Amino acid sequence: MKLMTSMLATTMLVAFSSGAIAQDAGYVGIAMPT
Amino acid sequence: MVKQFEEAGYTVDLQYAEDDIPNQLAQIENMITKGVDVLVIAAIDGTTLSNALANAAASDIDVVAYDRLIRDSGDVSYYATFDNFKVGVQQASTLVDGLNARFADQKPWNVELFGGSPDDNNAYFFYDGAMSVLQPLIDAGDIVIQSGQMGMDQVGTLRWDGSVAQARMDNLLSANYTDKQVQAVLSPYDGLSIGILSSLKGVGYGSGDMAMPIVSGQDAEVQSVKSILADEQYSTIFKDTRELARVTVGMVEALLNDGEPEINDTETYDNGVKVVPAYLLEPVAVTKDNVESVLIDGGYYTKDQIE
Repeated sequence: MKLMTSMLATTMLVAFSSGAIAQDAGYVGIAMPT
Repeated sequence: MVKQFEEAGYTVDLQYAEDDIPNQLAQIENMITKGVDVLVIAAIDGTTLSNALANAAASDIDVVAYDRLIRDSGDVSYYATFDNFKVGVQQASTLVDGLNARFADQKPWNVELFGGSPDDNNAYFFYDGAMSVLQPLIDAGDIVIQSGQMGMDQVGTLRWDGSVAQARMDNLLSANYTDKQVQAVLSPYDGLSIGILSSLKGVGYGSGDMAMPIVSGQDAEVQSVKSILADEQYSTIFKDTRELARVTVGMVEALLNDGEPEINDTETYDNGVKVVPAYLLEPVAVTKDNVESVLIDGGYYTKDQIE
């Protein structure tokens, strides 16, 4: 089962950038396999 | 995209490892060095990150395991995933539904089993979930595994490789089905299902008097959804990755604000060192009957993508 990581990561990026996390909340590292 | 983040006031470092374990380790170590506050990791190999996570813990960096459990480390804070046992239950349940629909008068049914990659903890949950449905039918004599190959040590498919599955299916057919037909194949992932279907079609299944066996899957990949609509693959399991991302973001938000991440499971995922608190999302079984309502009406795919 390959993770559909591009879609996953994109969704997370959108969530982060849309303010789901308060601004200046910090620095998030996301490690995806592919 | 980086600009969007900078404008929004966030710093996100997104790295893809191209399925290379040393590459992923190096990326994680680099993120630690650069001072991330939280790591979200979808591990390639869930057993190889212990040292890297120890370094993260030494720097007070929380780690969220994403979809795949990170094993053999006490430094995993939370785990966001789907109910993987239930995925296996649904795969086997659709298999049995299909057998009843297509081969009701041909019991006992000949079934072959495929498992996922042995280095992926989820693969064991999928297999165990499926066997919770199939084993009673095997015991009752309703299902026969003609090859006798059972258990993850015999049916696992390293790295979820479709070509490996296709080669094994070729061997199963030539060794066990020259004078009989197989009625179903348990496949834990769409990429394997496509390889299995190629093997089946290669010897004539799906034409003439050789009915296409019931083949399961997982992930609702485009090629498999098309295959389901073409009456080849029977089912897949849809895991809404948008929801997985939402849960993961919520966990990160809580961690960054000294809150309590939302979890709904504190018992299932023992990684060998600790039971990792988890949030398990609900998978959805998909057959031809509900492709449209689940995948298109749900906004996951457009009609054009899967036709």
